[in-house]
Amino acid sequence: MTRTQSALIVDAGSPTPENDAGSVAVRDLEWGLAELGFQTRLAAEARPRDLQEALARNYDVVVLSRPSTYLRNHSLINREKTKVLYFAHDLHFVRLSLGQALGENSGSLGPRVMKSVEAFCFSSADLVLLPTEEEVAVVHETWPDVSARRINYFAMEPVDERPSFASSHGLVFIGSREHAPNRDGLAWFFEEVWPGVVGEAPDITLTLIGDWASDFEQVHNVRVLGNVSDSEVDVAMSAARIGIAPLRYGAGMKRKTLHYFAAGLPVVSTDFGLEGIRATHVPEPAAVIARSSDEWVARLLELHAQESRWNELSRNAKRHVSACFSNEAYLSDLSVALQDALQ
Amino acid sequence: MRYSEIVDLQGSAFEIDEPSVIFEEQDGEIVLVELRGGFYYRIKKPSAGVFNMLVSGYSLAKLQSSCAADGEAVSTVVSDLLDKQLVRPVQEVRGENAPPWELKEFVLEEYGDLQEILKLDPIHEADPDAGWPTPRT
Repeated sequence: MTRTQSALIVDAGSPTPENDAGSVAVRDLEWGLAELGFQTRLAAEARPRDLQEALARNYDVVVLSRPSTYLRNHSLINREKTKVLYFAHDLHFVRLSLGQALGENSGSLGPRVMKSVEAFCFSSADLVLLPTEEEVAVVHETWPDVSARRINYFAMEPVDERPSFASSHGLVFIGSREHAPNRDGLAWFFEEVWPGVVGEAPDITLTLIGDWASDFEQVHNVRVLGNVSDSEVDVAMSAARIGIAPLRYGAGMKRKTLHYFAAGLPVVSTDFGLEGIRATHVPEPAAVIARSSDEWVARLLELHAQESRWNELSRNAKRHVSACFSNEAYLSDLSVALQDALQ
Repeated sequence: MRYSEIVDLQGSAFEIDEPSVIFEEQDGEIVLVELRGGFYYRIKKPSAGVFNMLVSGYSLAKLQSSCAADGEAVSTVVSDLLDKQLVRPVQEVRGENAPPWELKEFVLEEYGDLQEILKLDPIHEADPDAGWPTPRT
């Protein structure tokens, strides 16, 4: 009889999937491990006694989520019996470097310090899990001895049906205000793009999902939903005609873009908004890339008005999620990564 | 109240408070990352040499007696490093006398721009039973 394998996931706090994509990734990982037959437990540093009790037991795999949680807990794990996986979420030092190039925390040592911190995590883990092939390549190039693999990070199924072009209207953005690239991206969008859009098409609206009330509630034609339930998010995604990802920097996989695709929403995005998601093996495009503010205005207005193009992209978006980011695809990736780690 | 006012440190040596502190030295410059508060610190030359001397295993008494500066100046720097949880006292000390050294200045640059990523607030502030966000009573 085969012994049931066990897994512990440790994160800083209990997941808050309605607030941040990282929590969704942790929740999906918990689900994925259980689906693969692991007896799975999730412990949070915010509950020290619970964590202490969890760490006193033996597991086949312990997954430490995010760099600070990794650093504080890796030495507490019995490495003779347990494989330690570092769930990196993204390359923080890359994200910080790109933000710095745009003027954020100019002159700070943050990227260098974060690189040291992450180097330690990478080199001491049995396996590093990252969301994109690009990030795995960076890790392998910088630290050749590190064992790193890409997994899907998010499991998602596309909607069966979505409202037609005629039944939907306006733009939608989903993202946490806590995430600096979201703050930068929306600030840029409202400064450089939005006036051009409403100048040409005064009836276009933008719905913001996330804690943006204090920033943009007063902006013309903008509705801020706040942090809402999954079903309310689904309603907003169904009602909109285009999802936007105006990210000027970042790292890791962008759940917002996947979320739009799964809802059958055509997307207008920067290159960063499609990182880790670009449909390299799907011939049809599922998103429109815009780089300059003029391109953004033009692409948004075109796509908002062209029904046949919209139908094509909507179809492709759902097909892409179904082919690459379904529950089945997620479990397949995770299973291969775990086999590597447990060998 | 400062750490050094509570504990007699004369017989103690000091070491970097790993694993809660990450140490990196590059081109003579030291960076210390303190993972509980989420701050990181830069120590440039010549202060880096002072820091390395302070964590070289000599007791505070021997560090004070071999330093060209007065003993109070050494104590002040050590207290600051203890208060910031960058070093911790250890009872295992080197037996021989410390070589002569100088402490003209010690500059510890503190940065908080990574706190969002690194800090440990949930553990420090949460009630151990109820958990975050219930505050510790």
